[in-house]
Amino acid sequence: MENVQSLKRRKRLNPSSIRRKRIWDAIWSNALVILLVLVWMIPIFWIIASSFSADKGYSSPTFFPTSYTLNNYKTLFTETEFPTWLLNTFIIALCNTVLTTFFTLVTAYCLSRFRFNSRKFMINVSLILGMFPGFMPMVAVYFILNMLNLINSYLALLVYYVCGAGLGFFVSKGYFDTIPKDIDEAARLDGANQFATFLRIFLPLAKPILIYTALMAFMAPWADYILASLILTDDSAKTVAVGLYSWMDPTKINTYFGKFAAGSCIVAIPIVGLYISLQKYFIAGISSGAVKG
Amino acid sequence: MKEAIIHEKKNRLYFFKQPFKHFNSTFKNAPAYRKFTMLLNFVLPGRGNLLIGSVEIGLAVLAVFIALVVGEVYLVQAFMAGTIVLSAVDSTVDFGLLNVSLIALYFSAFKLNVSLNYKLNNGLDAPKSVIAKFFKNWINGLKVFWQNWSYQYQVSKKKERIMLITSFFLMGIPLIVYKEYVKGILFLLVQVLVTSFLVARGVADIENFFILSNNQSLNGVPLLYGIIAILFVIFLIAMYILNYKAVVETITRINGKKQVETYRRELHDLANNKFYISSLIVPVIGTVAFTIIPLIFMILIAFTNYSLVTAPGYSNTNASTNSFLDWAGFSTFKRVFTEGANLQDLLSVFSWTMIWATVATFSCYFGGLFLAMLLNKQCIKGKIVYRSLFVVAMAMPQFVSLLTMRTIFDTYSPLNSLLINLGIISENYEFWMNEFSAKMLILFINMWVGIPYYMLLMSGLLINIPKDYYEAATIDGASKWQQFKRITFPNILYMTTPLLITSFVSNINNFNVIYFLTNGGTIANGISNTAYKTDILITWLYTLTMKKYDYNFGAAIGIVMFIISATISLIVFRKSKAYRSEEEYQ
Repeated sequence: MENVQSLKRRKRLNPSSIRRKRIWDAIWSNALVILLVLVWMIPIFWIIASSFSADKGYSSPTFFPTSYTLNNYKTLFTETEFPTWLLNTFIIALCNTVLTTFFTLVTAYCLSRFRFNSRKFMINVSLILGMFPGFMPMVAVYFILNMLNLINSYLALLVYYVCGAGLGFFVSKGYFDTIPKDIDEAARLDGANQFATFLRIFLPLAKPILIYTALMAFMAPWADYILASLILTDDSAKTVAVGLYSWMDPTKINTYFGKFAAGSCIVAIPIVGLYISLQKYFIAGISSGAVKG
Repeated sequence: MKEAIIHEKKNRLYFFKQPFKHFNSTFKNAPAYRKFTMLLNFVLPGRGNLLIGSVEIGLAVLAVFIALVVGEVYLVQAFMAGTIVLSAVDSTVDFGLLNVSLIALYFSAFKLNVSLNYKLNNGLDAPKSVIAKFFKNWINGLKVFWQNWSYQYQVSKKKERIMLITSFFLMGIPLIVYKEYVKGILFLLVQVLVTSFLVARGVADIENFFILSNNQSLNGVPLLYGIIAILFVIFLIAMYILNYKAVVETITRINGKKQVETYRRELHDLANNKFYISSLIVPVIGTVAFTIIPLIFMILIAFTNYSLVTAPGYSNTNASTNSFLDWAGFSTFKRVFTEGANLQDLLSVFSWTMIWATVATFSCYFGGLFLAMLLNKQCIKGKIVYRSLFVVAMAMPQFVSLLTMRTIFDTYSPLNSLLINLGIISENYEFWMNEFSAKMLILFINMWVGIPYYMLLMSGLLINIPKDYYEAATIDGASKWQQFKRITFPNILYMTTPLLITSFVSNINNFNVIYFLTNGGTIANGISNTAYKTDILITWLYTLTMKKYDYNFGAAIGIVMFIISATISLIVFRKSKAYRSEEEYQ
């Protein structure tokens, strides 16, 4: 028994067979990665190619379009409302980044650093609120925004996002909990008030989570469809998500598909760039949100 | 080695064996009365706990158990009678989940009962009733407050006595008199503003809330005003209590000849040890206004007749004369659970939701793990480039990537022309019109969207596993698969169990993938025609409220969804280490 095993091991450790095995391993792993990259890239190539397509609709006799032009981009900016949508989504996104990040992090800081009576209650309530289907309160939100006279206004989206900021504290609170208390206590002994401690000492220490929260806040208006489609019904007051989706309607798709593709590319490029350049922080954010043992 | 295997087997059996083992000894030591309750627990889980003092848990378990049994009997009867027709998959999932939860509940009730009796046998206290404790605390607090108040009243001089009486009627005045301006003015302002609001319209709103038919219209807004007015009343009461506490505190200081807090001191506090008050005000108000009020509204809607489907003779043009908004008790739930078509919709949508959430969660999880390990290999060159390429797919706004995918698989799409050109099919294949292919596509496209996210996460986690483990394993001659099974996977699983649960719950709520891919549904389902075959609960909820204006039905479905996700997350969050020990590091 012992003998056979040691023989097997010796055979496995034979240098030439190891080298052969390694080469095969390298070949199939590389081939698999390239195959997977192709699977992930083909749809993206296709939408980019379609944005330059000279065909009217999306159906063509070949997979990739046959003739190419810049016309889609030109008409997108001259004949449609797209520039307004883009500009306004961008403005909402910027304001949202500042305000939502601030309120989320301040909430997380308070719940992580202070011990007050209703603290546990607040955490439990936000847990319970998170368990309701996210879209359930929309009808009432519509009524409330209507009451405030904010229908068909970009401000409505901003108000809604910022008001929901307090509930998104879990990820950053988890991160803050791991920062030792001594650090901010030392700052306060030196005479800094809480706000200064938070701003000057705490945020630089929690840079990954700061950037992660900001990135998520910046992304929200670009991706949100439900509320935006409910509130912004005017053609001139849409966000890019609602506007581009409306072009995918079966009645419009044949005339607008090229413009949809062009608009999608324009929206996607800056966002993808942001994600790739901030990858490191993004990983830090999602893992601190996920890993709680 | 042998011992280790035996130990592991023992561990696996532990869960099943332990309660039985303890049951024997506990049963022997228990007095006759509790012996009876322990036996009773076999027949009616929870009943045993109820009889020996653990009231809430006993009642809850008993209620859920009875609900599940009644539900099961009802469903089997409806299924047999043919009022609901379910496919084989749907009925397997629905009845399977029902039975699993029944068995799990039975076992946990059994365990609870044994542990409770074990505690009582050993002279420990049984857990006290939480609700009773809550009321006791309140009454105690009031008593202490009253003693304090009357003592302070006796020792006070005339001015302080007047102040103590005044603050019963006018909030904040004594605080202003004693120069605690910030609190004083705040309380006074709250009282003036809220009272004038209530006089101006709040009282009428509350009345209209309780007698909804007063409003003579089929419109949800009066209900909303009512909720807001009631919340203001609750707020006023809470402020009144806080105000009185502050006043008594101040007067205690004055009587004790201590210095009263100046407004400078108050402002200083707000920036330092009471920083949480000043900074949490905005988030709390925002949450109340845009999350809590809407949720209360939607929950209450389930108990009204607010629906444009059932309102008799309702038409958009002539709404006011036909039908009024009114409280309707449990009639909506009756509609959901007793009308064959609705129940059938609910059951089939529920089973697809569960299948979808399970497959979507695990496929992305394991796919991401696999991809991360593949990209982690030494023989792969240009890791950063590959990783960034996958990030591109993840970073695209979901509506872009999903709508692109939908178009690629559309009936007249380039993919179909490609397949025809290649001679694989002879005519356009309708991917989205066939239930099976549509569901498979949804699952695969979800993997396309979700795997890169998990890949990023997993590659972050893989770095955290110490390299020594692998070196030791290689020296011992462990194969790659063994290394994965014994080192990588257990470590990753340990770190990501909470993530698995939260992503399961968020997949139940995953509106985007289903809605964008199917454009709100293509294959009709059942008789009622509100649900589509690819619908999950959340997209069904969307169709019900946004397309069919069947608000109360949608609200009832929303409550059902809440119960599902709350059960899952509560069980897990309660057990998770993060929830119990958040101060481990600090």
